[in-house]
Amino acid sequence: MYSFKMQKLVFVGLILMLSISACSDLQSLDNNPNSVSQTPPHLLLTQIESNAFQVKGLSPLFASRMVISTSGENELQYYKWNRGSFDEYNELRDVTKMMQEAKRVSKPVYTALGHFLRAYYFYNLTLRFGDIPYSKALQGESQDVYAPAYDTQKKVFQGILDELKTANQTLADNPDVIEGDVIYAGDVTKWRKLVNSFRLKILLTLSKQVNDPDLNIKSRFANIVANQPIIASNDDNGQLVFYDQIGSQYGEYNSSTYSSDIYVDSTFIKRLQDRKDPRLFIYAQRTGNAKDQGLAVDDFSAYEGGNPVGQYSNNIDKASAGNISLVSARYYTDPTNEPHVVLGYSEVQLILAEAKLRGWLNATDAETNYKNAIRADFSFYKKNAEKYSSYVDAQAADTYLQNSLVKFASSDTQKDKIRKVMMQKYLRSFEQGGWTVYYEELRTGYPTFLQPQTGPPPTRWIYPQSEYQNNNKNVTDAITRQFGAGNDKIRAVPWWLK
Amino acid sequence: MKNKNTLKSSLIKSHPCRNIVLFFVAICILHVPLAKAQSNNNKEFKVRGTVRDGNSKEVLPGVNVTIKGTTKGTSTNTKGKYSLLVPSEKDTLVFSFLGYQTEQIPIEGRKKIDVKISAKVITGQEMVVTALGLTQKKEKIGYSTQEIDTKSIEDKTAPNIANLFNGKVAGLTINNPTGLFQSPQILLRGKEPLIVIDDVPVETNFFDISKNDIKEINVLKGTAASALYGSRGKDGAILITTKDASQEGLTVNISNSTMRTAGYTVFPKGQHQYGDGSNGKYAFWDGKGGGINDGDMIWGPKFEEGKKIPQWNSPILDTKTGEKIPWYGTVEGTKYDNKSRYKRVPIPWVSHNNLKAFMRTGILSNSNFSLGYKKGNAQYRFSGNYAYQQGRVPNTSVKRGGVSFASTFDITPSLTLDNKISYNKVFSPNFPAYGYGPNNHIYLLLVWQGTDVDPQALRNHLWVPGQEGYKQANWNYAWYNNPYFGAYKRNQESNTDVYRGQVKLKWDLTDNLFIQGRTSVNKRGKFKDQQRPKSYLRYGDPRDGFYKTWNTSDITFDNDIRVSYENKFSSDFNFSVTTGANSNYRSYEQYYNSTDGLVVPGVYSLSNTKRNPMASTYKKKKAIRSVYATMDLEFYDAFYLNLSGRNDWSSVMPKSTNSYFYPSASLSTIISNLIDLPAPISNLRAHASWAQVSSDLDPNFNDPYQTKAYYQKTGTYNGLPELTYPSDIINPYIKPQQSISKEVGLSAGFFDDRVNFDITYYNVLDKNQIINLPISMASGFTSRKVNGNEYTTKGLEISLNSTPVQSRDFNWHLNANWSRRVRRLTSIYGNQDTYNNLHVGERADNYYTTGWMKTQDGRLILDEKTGLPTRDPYPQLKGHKLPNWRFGLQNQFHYKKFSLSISIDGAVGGVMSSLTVRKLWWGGKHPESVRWRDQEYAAGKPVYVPKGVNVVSGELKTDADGNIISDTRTYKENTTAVSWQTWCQNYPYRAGVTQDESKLFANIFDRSFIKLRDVSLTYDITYLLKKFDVGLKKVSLTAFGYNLAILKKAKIIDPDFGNDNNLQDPSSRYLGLKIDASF
Repeated sequence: MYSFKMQKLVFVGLILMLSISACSDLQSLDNNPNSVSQTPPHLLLTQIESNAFQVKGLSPLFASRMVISTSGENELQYYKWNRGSFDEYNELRDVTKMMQEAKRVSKPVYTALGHFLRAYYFYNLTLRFGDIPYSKALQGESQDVYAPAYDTQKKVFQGILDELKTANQTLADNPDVIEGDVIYAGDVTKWRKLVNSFRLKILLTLSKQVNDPDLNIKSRFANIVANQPIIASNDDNGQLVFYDQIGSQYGEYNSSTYSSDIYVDSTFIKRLQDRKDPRLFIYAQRTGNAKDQGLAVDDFSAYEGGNPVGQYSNNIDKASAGNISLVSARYYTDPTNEPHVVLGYSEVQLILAEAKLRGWLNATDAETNYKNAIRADFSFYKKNAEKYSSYVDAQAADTYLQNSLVKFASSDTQKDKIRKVMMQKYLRSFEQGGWTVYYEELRTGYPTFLQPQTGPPPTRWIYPQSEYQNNNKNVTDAITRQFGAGNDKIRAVPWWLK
Repeated sequence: MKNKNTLKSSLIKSHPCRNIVLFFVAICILHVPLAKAQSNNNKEFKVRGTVRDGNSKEVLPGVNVTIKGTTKGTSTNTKGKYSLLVPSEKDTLVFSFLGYQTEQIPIEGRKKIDVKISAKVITGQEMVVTALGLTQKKEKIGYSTQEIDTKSIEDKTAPNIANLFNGKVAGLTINNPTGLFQSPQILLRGKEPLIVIDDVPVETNFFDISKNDIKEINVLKGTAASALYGSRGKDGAILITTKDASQEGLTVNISNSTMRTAGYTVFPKGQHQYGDGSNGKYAFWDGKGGGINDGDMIWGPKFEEGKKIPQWNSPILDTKTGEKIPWYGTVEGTKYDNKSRYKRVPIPWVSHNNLKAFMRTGILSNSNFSLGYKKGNAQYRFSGNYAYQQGRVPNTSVKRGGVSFASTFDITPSLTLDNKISYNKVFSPNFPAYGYGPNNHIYLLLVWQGTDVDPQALRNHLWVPGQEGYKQANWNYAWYNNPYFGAYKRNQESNTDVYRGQVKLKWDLTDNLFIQGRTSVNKRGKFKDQQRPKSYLRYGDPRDGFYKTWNTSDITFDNDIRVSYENKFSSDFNFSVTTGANSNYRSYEQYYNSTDGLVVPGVYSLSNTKRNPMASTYKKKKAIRSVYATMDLEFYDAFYLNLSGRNDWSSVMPKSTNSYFYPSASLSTIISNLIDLPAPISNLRAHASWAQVSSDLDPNFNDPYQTKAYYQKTGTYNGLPELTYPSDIINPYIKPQQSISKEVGLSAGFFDDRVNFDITYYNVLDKNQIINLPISMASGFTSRKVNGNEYTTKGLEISLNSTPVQSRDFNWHLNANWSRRVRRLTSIYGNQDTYNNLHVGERADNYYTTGWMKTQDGRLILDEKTGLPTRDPYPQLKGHKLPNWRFGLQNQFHYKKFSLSISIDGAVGGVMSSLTVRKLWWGGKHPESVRWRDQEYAAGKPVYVPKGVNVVSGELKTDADGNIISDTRTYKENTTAVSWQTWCQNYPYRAGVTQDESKLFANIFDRSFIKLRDVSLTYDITYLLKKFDVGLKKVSLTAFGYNLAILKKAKIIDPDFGNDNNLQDPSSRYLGLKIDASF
């Protein structure tokens, strides 16, 4: 009896064991029905482009003395910022994957665009910090590099210039169909123009290193201008157009902050007023009092800004008194507003004007480029800010170009002319071009930004806390190499500004 | 220690089937040498009698009658009668029955002994339900378990049953969010326990469980208790046993309880002295900066008798005709948007009680009935419940209802069919939105609305005149919604159907051997929608309305087959073994549809979309198959050893590591049965256990697809699809994570178990944790998946169960619980020194956050020119989040027909950051933010001089770890005055400030609190109604209260909420009445 029970028990147990451990089809459940692990590269391209070309919002406008905040002491406005972000590497992850997928399906055109986007992001990263991981970066998945070494800033610039050269060549050699392209709808020639124009922008950024024998800046610049297609009209602008659909709208659309505690900077308004620059009517709203008094939109005296330095509560008083201008409502109430231009005709013309003034090209007609730039920007707003188009038509541009503070005077020195070029770069950069104009001020000293009590405009950001935690040795080496041990500070001077 | 670990890991590495074979072999070997012992009965002696309930005098079937000191015994039959052969006249009979006090009666030669036993004040500590639904004597269990006495929660009601578990079990923490339909967070020793209903693991938020159906709740702590539920039970389990018909014949029970809110236990008060505006000035024009500071903030003018200001509800004055037009909200887009002709008439500037006016009385009513029938070999129970809860936010409610049916039927004497089915519906036609944003009423009313805004006008005028359906009437158009507009016009529905069913067939092959098969299915279907009217705003969302729907379906099959063998060889040795197999399959699907804008206002249909509608689906599946075995050995009535093992095969692991085995062992020793102890000690027991549990990549079924990287769709741009690649690097060689827990405990009973004391110490090592190890973002990824990090948790739990007073008319029962737990990071992946902010050996709950720059001796550094502080680029340690200890106290008093129950619980130590307090400072609603306003507005310049120092010279250099390289700074006292508004918008808002750093400006609080959780007073009126002879068995009336009072250190918030990361509803006090009748 007893052994019978025992047998039964063992028997049943064995059956259970066999039936269960035949774990055959468990693995079939592990296939994700929702997503793919491979993709044609163009699905990534749309995502990457729409992020890369999206409007950059208020941050650069605070630092560039274009807006002020009354809801707190804004660290950008008061030049008190500390750590910067490595977020671009997240975007670069998708760029890396797109290039891998392009290689897999043998579509070199996406590899070329990948090089351009890498150059674009690494350019922004190196200007923000100085040395950054570049040659060993983005190899976390492919090479198990989890804590990449930092490259010197010079190496980064050399690298991205080479990548852009490759991009231009690849595009020239492979004029294939580009799908998913929301910038140029697949126009390879326009892409080449953007790539080459961006090379000019980078070379000009390095103007302080113009005599570095390794970089060969002048001849490279001249060579591109002479032999490669560059952006030649507003139609070639590297820009993102917005649509009234969820996910395709202007980045600042419906942002609450504009209508309650963001006002236009008084120094910015003053500079527009001094030049009778009608773009003021497009950027800003009349003050409350001006509206009450019935002053016209094109009355320059209807505008007044907030002081970017001193106690910010003084601006609240100014707001209370109705004497301060909000940012134009179209930036946050128009779902498509205006395209965001990463690099366009107007800026390229200003780049050429400066290069000519600096003697980088065998040409002296800098003023033509300068005038082209202003006309192009006026026509950009004429097209994209329809409500205000009468203020910025061709005639308005002509009048503007005659303003004594705008036009090149015969008495102007080369320095004066560069100042005017920089001023125009500045005046056209409201919600356009991200941090470009801030870095241009660091490079040239123009157009001088009003300093708060905390000091001059910082030259960089402190490396992210996550690098201190996850890449400690490499970041420490980079700091010591550039600025001396423990000197990871916002006013330490990186190579490109030396 | 090292060797042991290697041995364990080698066990894991070897093929799982080998382990199972080994396990079975071990069982066989152990089994062989055992022989059946015979007991000698010399002069036998027969005793018989009847056992009755001491109170109702009814006969009690199934009462255990044993001879003291032996295992020999019988139980009473259906008529409560027993007869038993006893070896000697001098023996003592022991009468024991679940829920009753054990009686010991010396025979003293009698042949007929009738006994009355009385129900325990506290339900039996003896028998508890443990893993696999086995009922066991508690003393035999070698790991820590504690029951939640269902009697103690029977007469009370709370918004969610789990709210009533507070303080009832040492180590069980319930965080109690205060809003309607917010689920409590249940943590056992800091981790989320598995919820098991009738031996089937389920997913529940406790809204779909009727308290009335619950017979027993037992909490199995630690891993040892639940190794048998598989990896999902790795963090302990709460076992719920539902009721069946236990009493012979027909029993009917009906009850109703209703409670209402009676004020607030914690009501967040804002300041009532100054209204909307900034720098003391305000006038409404368009509510978005077009008037005087009418876009934001509550730093406006003071409320003063006779003061008048143009407001959002000011009438419009036509300066041409002198006509006054009543108006609410903006005039934008109307002919009145012309300041040269129209003005808003200033109206009295007075304060209102906005938040209190908004919140209405909450009501919660609960009706239950049950019908039980037991006869012979069949028993049936049918029950139903309905609950209605009216939320405190207008237009919100939750309705819950369900039916359940349970039956047990003996098909043949050896074949029992058991079956339970239930259906529950949880339906809310509209419930509030929570979180920090303009769809939360607290965000609107407490934080961002000045009390100048008239709540009556807001309630009565939801639309701007003439723009009904298109534009809400409101005091602000930049950031906020009219809270009444939100309550009445924005709607979200949730409708959940939960079906649970199980069939269990048990076949007794012999007296000692049974085989049981169980199959169960749980299905949850949920529909949720959101209706948003035009002009409703939420940060960057579209403002032309939308309609969104989510249909989700979640189904779980859990099948189990087991064989159990038990043999009592002698009084000295008993043996039982259970072995089984289990398969668990889960599947989840979600269908989402949304409009992009609305064409016609107020029509919430997907076809009313302005642009292309959007849709998505999401599906996931998971299966785990397991075999398990457990063996209990009993020696000399004093040693109880349990050994168990389980092997899982999970679909959410890479194939190479998808099989894993985990063993456990526990031992309980009843010392008092081995040696004679001094008189006051009636019972002494020691227990110890060891267990190791492994779990897969996705124990909670959040994302089962983690062994491969997949592109994610993020949306479309102008109709073109967009993909992105995940930021975590997957690991195809990832191994299961492990928890190894060790536990020792001591239980002692004194004075005939009038005082019972239980102390448990445990140590849990969480190793091989599957973590997303942060890596340099420059690698292109933010983390990679690895097995790494070790956390060691050490905890101590003490509980005391006592009856300080026991007399004929008066009983006092006291249950006290105390627990403490510290979790440390004891090893980091790759032997690194730090993991995020934590160093090796640090408390895992250390709270690091951005703080202000301070001198090395802790003084605040202020800028000499602005008087403002600067944020420290390195995160600062502000304390630890977990309390030092928690406690709970339950008192139950019985006096004649009255019973009074009082529960108190609390926590001591730890810190908690408050978002509410930070935002109140910023916005100007903080009660203390009024301090310097008058002085400053009178002086016309800053007068407040913050305490701190200015740097005179020198500089600080730190390395990348934050260590000081050199510090040459010298200081002087700060004398710079700062605008009070500026100060309040910086110091207490933009960085963490503890109570130690500043009592006044703190936004990080000591989380200590003591709460009077619930009180109930029951009066048994059965005797009053008995004489009417309508078959009433029991009738009682109860008055009760929940969430009655609190003592706390934190300001403004209720620390019992668990956190204040997303704002809190006011913590409501409830009072109620209950009637309960049985026939």
